[in-house]
Amino acid sequence: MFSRKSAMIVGLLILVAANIIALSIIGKKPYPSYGLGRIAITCVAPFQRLIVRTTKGMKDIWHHYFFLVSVAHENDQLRKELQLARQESITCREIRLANQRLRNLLALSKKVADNSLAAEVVGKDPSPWFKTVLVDKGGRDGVVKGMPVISPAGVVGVIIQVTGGFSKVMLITDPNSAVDALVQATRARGIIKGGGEGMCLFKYVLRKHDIREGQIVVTSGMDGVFPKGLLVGKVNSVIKKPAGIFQQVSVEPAVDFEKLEEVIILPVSRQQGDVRK
Amino acid sequence: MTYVFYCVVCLLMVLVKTTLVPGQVVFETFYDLLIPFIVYLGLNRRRREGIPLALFFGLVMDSLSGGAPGLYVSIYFWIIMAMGGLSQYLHAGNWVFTSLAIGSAVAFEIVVLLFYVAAANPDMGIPSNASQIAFIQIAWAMLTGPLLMYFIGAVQRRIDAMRREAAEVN
Repeated sequence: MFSRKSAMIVGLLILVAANIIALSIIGKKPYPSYGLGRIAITCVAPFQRLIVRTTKGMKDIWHHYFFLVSVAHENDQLRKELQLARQESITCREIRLANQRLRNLLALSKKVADNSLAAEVVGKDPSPWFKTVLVDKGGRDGVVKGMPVISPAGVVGVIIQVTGGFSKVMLITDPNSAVDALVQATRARGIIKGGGEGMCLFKYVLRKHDIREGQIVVTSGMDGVFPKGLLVGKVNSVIKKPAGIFQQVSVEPAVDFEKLEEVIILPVSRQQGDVRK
Repeated sequence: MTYVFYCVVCLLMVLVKTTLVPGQVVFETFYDLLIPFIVYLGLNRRRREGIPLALFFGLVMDSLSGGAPGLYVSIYFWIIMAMGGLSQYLHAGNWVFTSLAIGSAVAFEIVVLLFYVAAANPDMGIPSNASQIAFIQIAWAMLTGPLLMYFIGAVQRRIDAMRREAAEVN
């Protein structure tokens, strides 16, 4: 009735359709906390850690022993900078003490991130279209899905998958990422989303707010994931179209994700409050 | 022995792509190094041997990538199927053909991944630098992919020879 060729074409079309349907269904819950994928991470990540540590060790040897000439110059420069930093530190200490006193007066509850966890980046996403990294802390260390991840420079991302000893972090530059944030100066709120080319888009910011380049963007604490007041980045560009209720704001992340080596995993907190160490 | 070799190659390619390549400016947007391997399996090995391997490698990549589970499994499956079909009509040993096959496979992967990115975030669309990254990846793949395939083929031939020698001794 049907030729072999027709049957093959029909079979192929059914297979393509089944593939697309399966991907659409799976895509609705992209990061399951179970499945064979976790085994793959458990197998590959130790090797990634070994390579990262070996290359880092080799870099350290190079920088510490072969660049001593430049280190001497750098040392002089750093001494000068240290003097300035000491002065600044004293000023900061005064401000911190004043801040502390005021907080005590206002009876603000202290929410210290005591159980934060330091982790090392052991691998990066194999695809340039997705922005995730693997870190060497997992379920055994108390890491759970949804924990916020930061670095001394600012917000890094959120834990999306956890295995025994490793976790996958979705960076704020990933298109699927969303962080509730606000502009520090104007208090204009919006959602930080990954925008490609290492930049973020600050979406749903009303046109009425006067946002300018260089202004600092921090977490609002309203998403229930990131504590309030963490540095996200600075405004890179603002476009106000003649029509529409929102403006287009591009934000440059504070963290250099190309050079990200260590991160801090914060405990999940549904409470709002400033981050203090 | 052959499967151990395949798994070692897979692991090496994944490790290079996720640990060594990201730090290098020149190779920042390097292509998926498993593609030449999948193309090799599709062109030179039987389907019943190649397809399970392609699906396994896809699973590994899916678990390490930020995309939806099944993306890389689907991509590798269709690449190996297409290459298996092509090998019946074209001479797999030709350098130009190999280069074009790898370039096409990388282009196919980029199209599928970008389609997923755009579908998952309709308001964001395709990244503005997508065409630039795609061009660099395809160019790298066409230049270096055949070399990788040649290396894999050479080791494979050596393993096959060793297996034959062992069989003769026994």
